[in-house]
Amino acid sequence: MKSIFQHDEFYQSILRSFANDLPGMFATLKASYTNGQRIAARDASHKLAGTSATFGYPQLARDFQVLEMLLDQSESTSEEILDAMKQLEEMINSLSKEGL
Amino acid sequence: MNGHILLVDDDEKVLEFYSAALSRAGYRSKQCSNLNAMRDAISEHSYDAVFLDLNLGGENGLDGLPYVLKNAPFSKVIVLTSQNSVNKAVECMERGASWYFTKGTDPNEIIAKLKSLLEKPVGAAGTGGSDQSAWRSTLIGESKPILETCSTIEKLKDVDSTVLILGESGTGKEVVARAIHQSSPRAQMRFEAINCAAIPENLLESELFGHKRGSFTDAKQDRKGIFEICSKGTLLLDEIGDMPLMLQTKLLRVLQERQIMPVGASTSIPVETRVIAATHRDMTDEVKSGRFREDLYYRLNVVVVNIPALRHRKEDIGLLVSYFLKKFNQRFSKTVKEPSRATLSRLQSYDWPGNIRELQNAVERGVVLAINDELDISHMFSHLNISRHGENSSDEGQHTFENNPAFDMPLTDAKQAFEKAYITRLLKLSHGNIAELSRKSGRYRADLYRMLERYHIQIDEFRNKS
Repeated sequence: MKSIFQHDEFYQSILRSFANDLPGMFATLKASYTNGQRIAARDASHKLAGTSATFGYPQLARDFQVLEMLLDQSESTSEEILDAMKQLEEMINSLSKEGL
Repeated sequence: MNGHILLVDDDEKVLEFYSAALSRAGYRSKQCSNLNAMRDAISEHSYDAVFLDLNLGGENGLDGLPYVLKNAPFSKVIVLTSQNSVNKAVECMERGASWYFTKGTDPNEIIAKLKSLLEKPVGAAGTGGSDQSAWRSTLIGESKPILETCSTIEKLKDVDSTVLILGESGTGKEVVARAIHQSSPRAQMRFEAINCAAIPENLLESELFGHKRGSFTDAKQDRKGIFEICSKGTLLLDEIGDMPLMLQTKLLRVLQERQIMPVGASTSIPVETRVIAATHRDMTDEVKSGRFREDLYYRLNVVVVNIPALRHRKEDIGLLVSYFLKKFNQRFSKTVKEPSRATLSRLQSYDWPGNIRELQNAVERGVVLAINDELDISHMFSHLNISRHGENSSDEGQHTFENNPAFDMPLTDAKQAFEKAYITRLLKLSHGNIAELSRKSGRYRADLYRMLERYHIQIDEFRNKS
């Protein structure tokens, strides 16, 4: 998974900072959900969807939007939510490995 | 630079991203993370466009749209959100936004749209043309001194002269400069303000006249100066009395020749910028002491607008309090009532050395701390440590000076003695905190550092005492 800005030298350092901070931001989101703060987790998903889209990662943004929707709907099961989180975690790990 | 953009988003990373992208395209930007910060920014400066996020944590960005449309009618609003919804886009445009983008749109596309929006003359987008009498509503008051100021502005509306605005700190010099701009045929062009005291000397020249790529270490690309940016508009050079002598010489040349020379450039650029200068200083003193060039002073001193201190127009205090009350009730969703006659009388008995800025802060405090929707004088005067009944509980908070030895000094010495005592007192109260000193005095830090140096005040002594 590469950002659409990966070949633009100007955006390289900005993208690097995003890639470095993303695992930490996602860990905070997960911790909110685990501690029963579902609304905080939903708001964090919304924010990360916007950030990912801004930084040129449309797939990541869509997956965060799915998670936001699941967290917003009371009928979503915890299994569905944890599955979506797992998928996101894998994507974020692959992003970290790829660098940018 | 191509324009000044206000970015409103609760996501720091998104703010940084667009700030960097805009800077690369030659735009300046200011970042705000919530609607209150946005309102403050708009009340202090004008922006060519506002990038507004819809989901601002607990706030709906659309709630801020009416404020922008009312208080910054010439700013284009571009909604930038992660909500990918046609209905939402239509709603935003119907409510007055100029455009709608979802996050993830290529920033080059956003910047191209921004450029085209800013190129359209105001009025072409259906926002209405400029009302050349609208400026009058920005100057609150009906007293003789303020009516005289308005009359001068009225006389200036058809001429393009350089104007020098004189007034104490907090009297509203920038408001008057904007009023002069709005009343002029240049009203639809840009108005920019630059504070000559707040920008380090080595950067000020580049800010004013621009620079060429490679002309100094950080000059990675060509950059337009503020003179060129508002070439057809009006430029306010605030705190002109603090402009370094070297730049005074260059400014004089610009005013005489109507051409600027960017740093590192070999050819000059013609400009048609109207210059308004403002200062709280006694310029004849500055000229006499050699701190300000006499020839530049006479060049700026074509038309002088004197703004009265608030103590000289106390009959306007009631109107001003009502105006600020309305503003802060709206901002804080409160319904605080108009002051009683006794409260108003107390407010009118005070001299307001910080002028309208001090009164505005007092009303804001009064609204925030109001109990049962009543303004309480002790809240409003809490910065002076004055009790509800009017006694001053601190010798340092005295606001009448009849017995002060300064009355027996020449005016210049008395002013300096007061300035030193004033700074020393605030430094004591703030334990040497320069940020607090800046906030309380309403002066920029650079200005304060200059005063500390002038009066040989060691800030560390106050820090150690805390």
